[in-house]
Amino acid sequence: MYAIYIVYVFIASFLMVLLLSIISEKILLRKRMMVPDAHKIDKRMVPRPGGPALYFGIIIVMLIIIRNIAAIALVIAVTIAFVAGFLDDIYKFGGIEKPILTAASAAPFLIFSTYNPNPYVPFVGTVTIKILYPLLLIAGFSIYSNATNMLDVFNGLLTGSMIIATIPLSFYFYIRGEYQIFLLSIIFIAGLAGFLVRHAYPSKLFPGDSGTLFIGAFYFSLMVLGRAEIVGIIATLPLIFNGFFILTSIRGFKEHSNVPRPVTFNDDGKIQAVKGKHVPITLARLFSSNGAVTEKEIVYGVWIMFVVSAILSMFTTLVFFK
Amino acid sequence: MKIAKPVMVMMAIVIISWALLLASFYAMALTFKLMAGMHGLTIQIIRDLLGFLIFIIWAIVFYIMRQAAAKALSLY
Repeated sequence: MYAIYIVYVFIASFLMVLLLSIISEKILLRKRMMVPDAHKIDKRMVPRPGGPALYFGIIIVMLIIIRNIAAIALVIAVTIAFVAGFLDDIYKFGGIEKPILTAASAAPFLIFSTYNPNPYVPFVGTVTIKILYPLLLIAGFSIYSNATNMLDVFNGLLTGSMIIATIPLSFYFYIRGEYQIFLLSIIFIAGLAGFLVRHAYPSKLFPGDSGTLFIGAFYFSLMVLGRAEIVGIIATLPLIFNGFFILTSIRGFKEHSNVPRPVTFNDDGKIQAVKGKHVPITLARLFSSNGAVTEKEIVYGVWIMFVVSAILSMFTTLVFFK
Repeated sequence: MKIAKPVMVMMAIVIISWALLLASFYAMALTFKLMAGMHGLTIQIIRDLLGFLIFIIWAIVFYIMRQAAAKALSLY
């Protein structure tokens, strides 16, 4: 019975986001809100931002099904990230504003105390970090929201990667009997899958910063609410690598225009890494370092990395948290 | 397949990082075992600092991984 209910919830979230995405595309096309797809030979124009479709689709389904204090805190947190991203889609912030604004997503969790400062850690068990945890919460929202934003460089890459990364979280919540959070994670996966239908190669709709920051904040909220910090970190190692590699190679938060491009786009439509010490190290650059490759090949390469991380994450759950 | 080598390198980096993360937790568990039976605010602060220390170790590990990946794939 519960399995059938889960399937219904999945279908509802999937269809809701897909429907809103198609409506968004039409509205954005009519309003001429489009950007060129930089990795296509014809530089075709793609509607953006599709973030509102993703946000409203997931939140509507979520609020119909779950309305407890944890869900409310999550909704407020992701709304802050979504609004910050939406403002960025319209006004374009500098390099430092987004990390600060997205850190504010931690506020509802801190105000409603909907977090548990006792994460489960392999070998150790429950660790009490009452002083450090609120600081990690603030930093975590900023890190995850902006790391997801940095990964959104190719058609469908981010949404597909985050679907793969959320599966181990769902597995963890189910194993530990956290059924409400499990349901939230299913709504999230289904919403992302609905969006991926339009975002996958060749993209018909881009999420924009409103979509990417929302995805990062939602994922981190799931980790906090379900006490799945370690499992979540392992599942998103490629995401963390990408953000960490970029920030350490360009030395801090900088505006896009002030940073050298990590890859070049050839006339034949293939992507090739740029050599040099001061060029940002991104996953795209690493995957195209052995010669020119297609956009699809890079996306599949990154997804394979996420699959490996997801398997390790689920293995960790089975060994340490069952 | 030009993508094969980078995929293999990055998969290896994910697996090594995962192993090192678990090793850092094991070291944390050993330290906590040594501190078993101790109570008070100072111990609480030391526990929090240990958590912070783990994050510093992770940052160093990630930096080493970055350099290893860049070298293995001849980025410079």
